[in-house]
Amino acid sequence: MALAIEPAVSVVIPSIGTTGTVHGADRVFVIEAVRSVLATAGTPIEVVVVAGREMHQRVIDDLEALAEPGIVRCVPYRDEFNFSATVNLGAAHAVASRLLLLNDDTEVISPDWLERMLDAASDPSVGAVGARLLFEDGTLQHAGHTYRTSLDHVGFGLPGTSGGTTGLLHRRRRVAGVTAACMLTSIEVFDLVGGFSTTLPGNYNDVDFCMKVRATGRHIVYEPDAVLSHFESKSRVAGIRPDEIELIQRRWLTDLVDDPFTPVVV
Amino acid sequence: MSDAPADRLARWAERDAIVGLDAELRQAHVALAERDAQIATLRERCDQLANRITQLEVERDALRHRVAATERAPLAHRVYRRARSAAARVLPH
Repeated sequence: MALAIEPAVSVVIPSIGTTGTVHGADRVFVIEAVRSVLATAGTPIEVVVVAGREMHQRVIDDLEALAEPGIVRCVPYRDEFNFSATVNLGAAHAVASRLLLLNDDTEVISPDWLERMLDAASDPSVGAVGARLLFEDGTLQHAGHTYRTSLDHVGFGLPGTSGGTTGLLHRRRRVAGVTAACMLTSIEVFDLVGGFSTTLPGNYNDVDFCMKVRATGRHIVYEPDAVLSHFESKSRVAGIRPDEIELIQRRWLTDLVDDPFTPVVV
Repeated sequence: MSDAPADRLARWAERDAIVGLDAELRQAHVALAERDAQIATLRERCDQLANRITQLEVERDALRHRVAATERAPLAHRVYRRARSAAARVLPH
């Protein structure tokens, strides 16, 4: 269905309709994520939910009822789990020039988050923008990636409002990479680098994407004023496969180690 | 450039493979250059060590010569003293 207003941003959310408890209340994660995005976008958007085969029709119906027809679309994904493939599928169905990749277990905190991210992305030398993500308990989950000694999140576990010892985490700045849990890029850049690599189905696909973007000469930027909750478990076991480690190192090892963006002490 | 979803997906798969191979090739070149540099460094160290061994062998030969000469000196001295006392006994005062 054609939209009355051309969206500026396509929000792509892979999901299987997982339920959980946040602050003591049950929720279907993707519904609350989409609801918070629609409430705060401040610019014409569309939401493309890539619905895994486990997602109930009821969740799909509820999602599509959250906004005017056509604004929230569910695209079925029927294959085995492959996060990269779901992101690519959503992006393939996107109509806007900007892509906002978002995990379904997120919720917007700062009302002008998308505006801030779009502002950071307005510099043509910027290829992707990431946000500040907080755990349910308010501690920092993500303030950009660092790859120097391990593939990790800058400031992980610090208080959510912390700027780090030098205030670094409060500054919009270039970083080695950002998580795909909340990443703004353009369809042009996405197309240029061939989207997410389906050879990395579960881990490091965002690292790989950021490295591919950097290989084009574009920068990855962290936007501290775009703040969202990310209800990922702090103790999540990533289940990293040896072939994923082997591939990411085969493609980027020396570039990963050469991380000029993260000071030794954050 | 076609923008049908299936065409996009096919194009991205192809591009990712190309970009990935480019990255792997670049990493392989970097690794190759690193190995070349390591080999050159080790060869240089080998040359330095070989020179040092030669130098030490020269010094060792000189030391051996000195040790032998020093060991010969007391013998000569003892022979001289024995000859002198024998001479003293037989020669008139």
